[in-house]
Amino acid sequence: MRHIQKIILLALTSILSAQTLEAADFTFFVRQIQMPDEAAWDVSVAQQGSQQSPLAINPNGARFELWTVRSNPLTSYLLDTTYVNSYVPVSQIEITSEDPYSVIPRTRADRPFNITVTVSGMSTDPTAPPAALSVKLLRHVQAYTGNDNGSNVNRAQAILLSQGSLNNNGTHTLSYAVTSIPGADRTKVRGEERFSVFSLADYQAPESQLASKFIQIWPLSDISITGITSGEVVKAKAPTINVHLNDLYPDSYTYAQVYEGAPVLGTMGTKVPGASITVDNTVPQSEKIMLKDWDEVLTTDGLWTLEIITVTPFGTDRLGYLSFTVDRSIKVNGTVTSLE
Amino acid sequence: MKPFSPLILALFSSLSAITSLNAGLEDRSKAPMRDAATHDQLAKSLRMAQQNDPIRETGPAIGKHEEDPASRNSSRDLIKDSTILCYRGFLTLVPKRAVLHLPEKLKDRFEIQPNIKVQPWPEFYQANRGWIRTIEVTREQAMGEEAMSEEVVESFKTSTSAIVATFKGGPISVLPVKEPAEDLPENSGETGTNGEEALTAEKKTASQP
Repeated sequence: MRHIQKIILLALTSILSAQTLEAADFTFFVRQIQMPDEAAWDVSVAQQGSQQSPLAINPNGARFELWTVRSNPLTSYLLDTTYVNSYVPVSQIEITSEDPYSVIPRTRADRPFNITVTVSGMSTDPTAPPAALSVKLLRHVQAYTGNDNGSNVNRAQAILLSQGSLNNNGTHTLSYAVTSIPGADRTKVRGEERFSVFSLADYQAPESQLASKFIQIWPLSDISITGITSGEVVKAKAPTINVHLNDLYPDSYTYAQVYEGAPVLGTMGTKVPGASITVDNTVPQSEKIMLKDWDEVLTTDGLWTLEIITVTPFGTDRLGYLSFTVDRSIKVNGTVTSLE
Repeated sequence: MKPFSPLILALFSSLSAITSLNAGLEDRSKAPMRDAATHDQLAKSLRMAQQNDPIRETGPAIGKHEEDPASRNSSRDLIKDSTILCYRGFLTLVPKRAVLHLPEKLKDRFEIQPNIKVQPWPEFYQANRGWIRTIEVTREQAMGEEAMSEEVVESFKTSTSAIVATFKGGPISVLPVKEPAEDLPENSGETGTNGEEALTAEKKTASQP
């Protein structure tokens, strides 16, 4: 029997921090499952690091599973799994986007992302078993229900959108302009896309997962402004305005700015004091900002434009705007008469 | 298989754009401002993307492509696939068939209790050495290729501690010993004295007054 030592690479700390739930509530387990009898070994591991498994792998291969278990309520989550065998290729998947956040790859519903699949150990002998000559590549998509952020997702309901095969060693790159997660309003799509590499079934083992990664897709932000309407004339004190910000990107800075004149995209205006918010989270956030006592930035009479701007890893987006007129001049109608 | 070169070349240009965008947080606001994308714009992009899914540019789908092999993983549950050890507010999970002996008086420590904190095996074992004993087994014994010595089996049958099989310190399933192939009658199942059967037998013994 060929002795294979599987290097278990764990980045548990980062996975832990990826959870939106309390980190201290999770405990990790790694199981090595010997095929085909499913004998299981609990691999004691540190929270972070790597080690070699001393348990020699059966001729039928072994499956390594990374689990996290939540204490209350007692629930287990399968985070990752990979199958290794003496002749089945080895594969890794990396997903990148414009957002450098590394815990769980993420991007926005309007932005591109790239998948890099690396395959090694594939045989070049045409007489080798089919499982040594090819691997399957699968793409699953799954929308999060309502405003869920992935904590309650049932991955059994993921949709297998497309599949193909890779027949040679090396790095294969796939580029996607936008997500294909289902959703009627494309700006409000939220969910995940999963890319997986599977071995082919043969007499030793069924189709087994060699690698799998997913990217989370978050919706675009949208806003609503109350307290002022487009075309309104501000005659005295500037009104108090509420700006409702929905689905702010997890890494974003959003602010209100004003400038004189009609709306012109790209204009650098004056930021309204106190009317900004920074989001540093793992999931989108909905907030409200208030423009109150902001007369000091309306320095002259005339046409003004209010814009709501958000800055994210994808650049600067104008979420909405309106124009209004400031007219504070006081006209006194009077006559001057003489007694003469 | 179709060549990837055009794809890679296209990627390089997009990666350059990505790199420039990721240059630093302070540079974000220097990028040209744009209006947020609309549904119509994204719907158009989606149609184009779906017509050019690069996965379909790889080799044709092979194997059992009418089945989704990922669906097997989605229904997995570590808790159901494990034996639970729970005591004084702490709980750990060991593989099925790793518990070789379970005295009747400790039976309630193998059930889920409310308000627990899950611990990895090493921590749980460290705190519960008083009632848990481990027996190191070989790979061959765990795989059912070799029987455990009768003395060892006899020694833990009368133990007042729970006995957990370990390999290099980690709990491991101990499969029933496989009979040599030539001795197996047709269609017979595997039999042996290790693992779950031993546990079952011991449970019966332990339950007797």
